[in-house]
Amino acid sequence: MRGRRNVATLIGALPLVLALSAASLRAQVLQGTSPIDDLLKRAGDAFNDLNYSRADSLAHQVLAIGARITTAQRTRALLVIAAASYPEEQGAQKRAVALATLKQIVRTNLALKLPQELTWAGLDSLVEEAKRTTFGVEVSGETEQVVVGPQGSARLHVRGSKPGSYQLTIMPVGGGSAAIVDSLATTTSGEFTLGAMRSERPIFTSGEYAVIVTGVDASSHDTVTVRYTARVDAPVLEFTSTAAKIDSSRLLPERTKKYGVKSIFPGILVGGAAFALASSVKAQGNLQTKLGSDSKGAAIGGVLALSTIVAGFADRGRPIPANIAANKAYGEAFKKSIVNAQAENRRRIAEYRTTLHIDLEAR
Amino acid sequence: MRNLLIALAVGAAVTVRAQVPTGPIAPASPKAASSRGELRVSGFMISGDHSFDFANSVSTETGSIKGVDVLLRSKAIGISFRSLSGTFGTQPHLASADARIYLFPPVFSIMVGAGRRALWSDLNPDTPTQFDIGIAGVSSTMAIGGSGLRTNISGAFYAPAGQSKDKVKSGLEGEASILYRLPVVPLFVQVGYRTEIFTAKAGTRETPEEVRGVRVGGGLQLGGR
Repeated sequence: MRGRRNVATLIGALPLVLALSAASLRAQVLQGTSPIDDLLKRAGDAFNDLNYSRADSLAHQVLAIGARITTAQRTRALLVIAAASYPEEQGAQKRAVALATLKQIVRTNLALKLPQELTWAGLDSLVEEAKRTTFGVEVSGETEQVVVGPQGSARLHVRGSKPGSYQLTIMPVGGGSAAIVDSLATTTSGEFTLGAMRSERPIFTSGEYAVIVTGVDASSHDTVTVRYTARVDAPVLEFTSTAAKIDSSRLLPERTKKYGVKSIFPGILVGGAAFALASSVKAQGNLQTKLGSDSKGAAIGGVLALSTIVAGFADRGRPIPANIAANKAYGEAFKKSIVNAQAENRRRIAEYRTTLHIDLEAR
Repeated sequence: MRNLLIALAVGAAVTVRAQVPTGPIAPASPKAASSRGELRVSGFMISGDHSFDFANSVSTETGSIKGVDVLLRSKAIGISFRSLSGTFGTQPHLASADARIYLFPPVFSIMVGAGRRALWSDLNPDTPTQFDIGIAGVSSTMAIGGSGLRTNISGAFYAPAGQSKDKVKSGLEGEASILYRLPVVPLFVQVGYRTEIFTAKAGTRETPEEVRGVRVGGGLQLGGR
């Protein structure tokens, strides 16, 4: 009777114990990767103890954690599941499960090699079968690449286990349109070449980007998508600018003001003088009294006066050489400033550096 | 085959103002262009009347005077030479030559000079009556902006001079004209009106005469803007 009460008490306390364990595990996950590694170690130990079901269970617990585990941890868990599903003991072998698990790994890890402690000849041959029958993709390249100027480029090498076509998409993690889309036609291996500038302007801004490589098997149309992360350092490209055209309001006057109305006085003066010479200036004696005025004097006086006044109003002013020279020097300095700015901008474009830190661990 | 497609440029490029000259540097003395000197060589013709009073009888004939005029001057000083000869119907032929010095700028110059005036008839071409004269007067040449047109007004008195002092009573000349220098080639044209008055004397008898008419001329002009 007392034993039953103890069992009942334990059963009643079980939800609390499980809840505490889960909370503890979640806290450990948040603190770091060691609890997951511990779980994986325990799964490996269980496998070594021939306790395949426990090894499988523990490995599945790791996978259940989801996105917080690393690719290496995920691969290790899958390897344990595959090994636990296809041990040497024939009675414990679940070949289909092991093969499916191995295929899952091979899709993004063409060079898969099982650790010595997990494998045996039968499992190795199963790995080879998985590689042979699965379309997998592997992406490689330098993790830090510096792209200089419009001609510079970063490179990512892609290899497939079978001929296929590939597409690369780079887009901001925070959302937005793709910055780069590149594709490779049917091949077993190729290289994506990524420029960092378009029309001499930066393509990227600094920040986190998702690098997504999608491979499509040419024959089966099986599709594999591998996602990486990249951090891009792309400083703002500053251009120098100049005014499109010279500020004409700053130019000095190149001619004096129009003579205009000022010509009336000399016009009247010269016209009046001609008229006076023809009518009033006479020799003495009989010539003074007997000779009349010369009628041509009035006409020529009018012509002189009118011509002078018209010339005054038609005048565009006299050139001012010093101001013309100053304006010319200003124009040349302005042109030079534009040439200098253009040269400086060309230099900045040519030397513009974009740094891509690509984490080639598939997500 | 590979196909590269850049879907969207998300990069940033900003523009900053470059160093641009703010404006022309104003010269200390922005004076209008003007020539330091002037050389004018011209031919001219005066078409008009020659009148003289001899023995209380006034005679007037129409004719013309042709001549050459050379002027060389700087802003403050100048020199000119003029030679002319004219024919007016049956009246005695007229010739004169003079040289003048100009002082002060063209806009207002004082001129002094000397000349010789001669009258002769076809009957005695080798023994003309000659008169030496001194000349003093003023001249004003004004440029009408940069139009190339200038006005010229001058007047001078003739005074007896030299060995023929007792044959000259007095005289004067006046001229009003405009000069237009062509924009490209160094040529100019001149149009105006000229009057010359001269009174000769022989003992107590005085013979006043005058020439007046339209002056048209033109020639080479270097400088003088």
